[in-house]
Amino acid sequence: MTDPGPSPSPEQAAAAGTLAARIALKQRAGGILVPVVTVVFALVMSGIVLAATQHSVHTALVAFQEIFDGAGLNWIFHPTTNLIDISAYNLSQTLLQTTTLILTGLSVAFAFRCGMFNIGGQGQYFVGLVVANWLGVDFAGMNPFAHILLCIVAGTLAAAAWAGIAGVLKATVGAHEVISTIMLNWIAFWVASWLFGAGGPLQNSTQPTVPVSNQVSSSARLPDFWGAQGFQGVHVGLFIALAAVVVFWVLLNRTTLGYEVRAVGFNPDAAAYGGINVKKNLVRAMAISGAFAGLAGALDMLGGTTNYQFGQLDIPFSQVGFIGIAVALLGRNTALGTLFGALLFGSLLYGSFHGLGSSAVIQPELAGNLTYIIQGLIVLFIGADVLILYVWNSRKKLRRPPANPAQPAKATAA
Amino acid sequence: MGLGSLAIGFTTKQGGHVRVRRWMLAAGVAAIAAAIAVGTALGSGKSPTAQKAGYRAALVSDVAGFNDNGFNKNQLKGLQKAAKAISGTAFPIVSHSSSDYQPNYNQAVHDNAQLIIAAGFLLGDTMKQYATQYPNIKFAITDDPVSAVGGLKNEEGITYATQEGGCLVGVLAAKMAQKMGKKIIGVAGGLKIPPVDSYIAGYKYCAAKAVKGTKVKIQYSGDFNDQTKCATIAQNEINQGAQVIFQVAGLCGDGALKEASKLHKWGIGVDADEFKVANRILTSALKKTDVGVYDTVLGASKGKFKGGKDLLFNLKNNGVGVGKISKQVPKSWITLMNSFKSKIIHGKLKPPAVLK
Repeated sequence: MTDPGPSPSPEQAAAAGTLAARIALKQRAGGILVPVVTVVFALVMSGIVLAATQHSVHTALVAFQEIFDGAGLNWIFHPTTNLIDISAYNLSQTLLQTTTLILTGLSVAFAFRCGMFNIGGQGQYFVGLVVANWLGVDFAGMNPFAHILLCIVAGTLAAAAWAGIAGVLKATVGAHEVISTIMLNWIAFWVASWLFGAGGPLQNSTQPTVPVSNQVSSSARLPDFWGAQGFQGVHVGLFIALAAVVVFWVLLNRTTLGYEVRAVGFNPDAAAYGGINVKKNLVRAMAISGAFAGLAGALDMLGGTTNYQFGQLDIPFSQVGFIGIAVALLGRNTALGTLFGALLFGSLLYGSFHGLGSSAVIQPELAGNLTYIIQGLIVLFIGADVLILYVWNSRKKLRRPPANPAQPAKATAA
Repeated sequence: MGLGSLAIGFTTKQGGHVRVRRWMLAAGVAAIAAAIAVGTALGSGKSPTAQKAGYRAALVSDVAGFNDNGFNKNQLKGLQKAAKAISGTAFPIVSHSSSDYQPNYNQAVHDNAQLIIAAGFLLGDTMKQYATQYPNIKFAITDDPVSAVGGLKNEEGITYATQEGGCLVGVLAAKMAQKMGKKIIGVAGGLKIPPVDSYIAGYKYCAAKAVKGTKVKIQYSGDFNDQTKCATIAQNEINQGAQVIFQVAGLCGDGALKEASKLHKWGIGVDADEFKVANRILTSALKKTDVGVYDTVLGASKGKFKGGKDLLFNLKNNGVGVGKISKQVPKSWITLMNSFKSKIIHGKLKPPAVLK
């Protein structure tokens, strides 16, 4: 932590600032290499787990190939747009997964930049999804453009309001956002379970015994640009997510709002001293953060990622909000970094679920849980890259005695 | 911040740093290169399963995966046993969420599966879509009649006469309640839906036949997962005098079995053999999903696929039955139960599938 790069202010701010700010600073100082090294390290570790559980190094290597192929990345060897080709189909599914993760990643990253840790992405995602489903089913027969717009905007705003609760609680009574967003997650979880469960208000009206929602009406469905409509093709939501990356960057780096949010993130006291309304910015940043996650939920629903409906049983299995945290951490809370992080996790998630779940490499009874173990290890190591950085930096400190007396003080503080 | 911060790793002023980072860079690049090399080397060969001959049957699990307490796992067993018996190839495919159903069906089609079995009603919508799209591939679904998935010519429903298994456990329950002094038995149901009610209808019907005057308390939890809800139901019914609790609520019902054991009453498991769930398990009413899948695959491989119709699994073809019976059950009761069984098999006794 001896050389923070071109801007010295964040370091000074972080010295006195929040935990989130300090983590963010430490990570940014590592540059692009640390995420690459942590990913490689994580893959090696999961390889060891695979080799140990399968008693074969060869199986572990084949499993990695299955993950690679399962994500459709072998598409680069023979590119085609024809979805009959399995690699093209798998790639299309990886892109769908990536679409969601870009947005949940941006959600976490935005709150991080304001010095807050939004763990509520999962709940905000459910809120966006539920609202989009409700409006998508109930307002059948509207003009498609207006209907889609209505569902997306309402889903996004509802999630923003949902996350805003945590922001208001922090700004007014100082309730820590980690606690309040986790609690809001559970509220969203159980409310959605009730809504979609048997007898719930949003439950399927034609199959009263099946605990899933109705399918959103055809006027609210996002058009697919790659793949047969209705067969889980890649929908235009991908472009909306890419646009969100640009919006994120512009908002944070080219507007007064973004300047204030970052200033509060670096050091709330200094920001307040500089005349910035800290409370207002905490609420605002949390709401914007929730909006990204809500947009992810709305796009998943309208894009048909789960057949234009959502089941009660899908709720406990959905992890996209939490994986968004790993995406943001890996992407260093930057727009472009989050995009690449989402691409990596999208491939990894779909590739490992599908590659290992449908191949003969791992016994089918084990495939499900072993996949979760591998994913968990990778999330763990990526979360632990702060630790890896720390180890690297202490090595450097040992090797070179401090040349000027100001540096060691800074290093321990940061 | 976006691009700028990514570049920090390479722009340092002190020589020592650059050297360390170059080393890291080299290591990272080498590792990625090695990974890609391994990937492409392995990628050149086709997966081994793709070349095997014989009948090709796929089974797509529901969101619970193949390591659940029995429903999916038993079907996997049936599939693997069938593949072995006909020297064919099994393609079990795990789903983790609803968004996996479409890709998994697509994978099965790509693997040239001749028969694709859906492991439960949750997959109904996706199966219907693919059955319409691919009329030359055969589709079957566990626990759902073919009418629920469009009734197409290339579809088959795998259904179970669960009222017959319910009947047999009802006989034992009634005898046990009589021995314990109160002719009252209970049911902890999940949702009030036909597959749940058929168990209960058979249970009620035969309990009254085995011991005249047996009363049945029935409550539904509205849930298949939350054990506390079914435990509460068991407690209520035991307070009302129930001596035996039959759970028909999946994982939720395990809570009822544990509660009944705790209160020194008896529990009866459902679907899989739940003998190990609690101390005092009288027996379990089985739905042998492995038998259903096995017979479906065998039938289809021999060209006996009954398009647009349902296969019925019952006591006669060993598709339903009872699990392990507690050692505290006297031989005479088992003889009585077996007499019910043979009457059902010979068509002299027909437990109703609908609860009145």
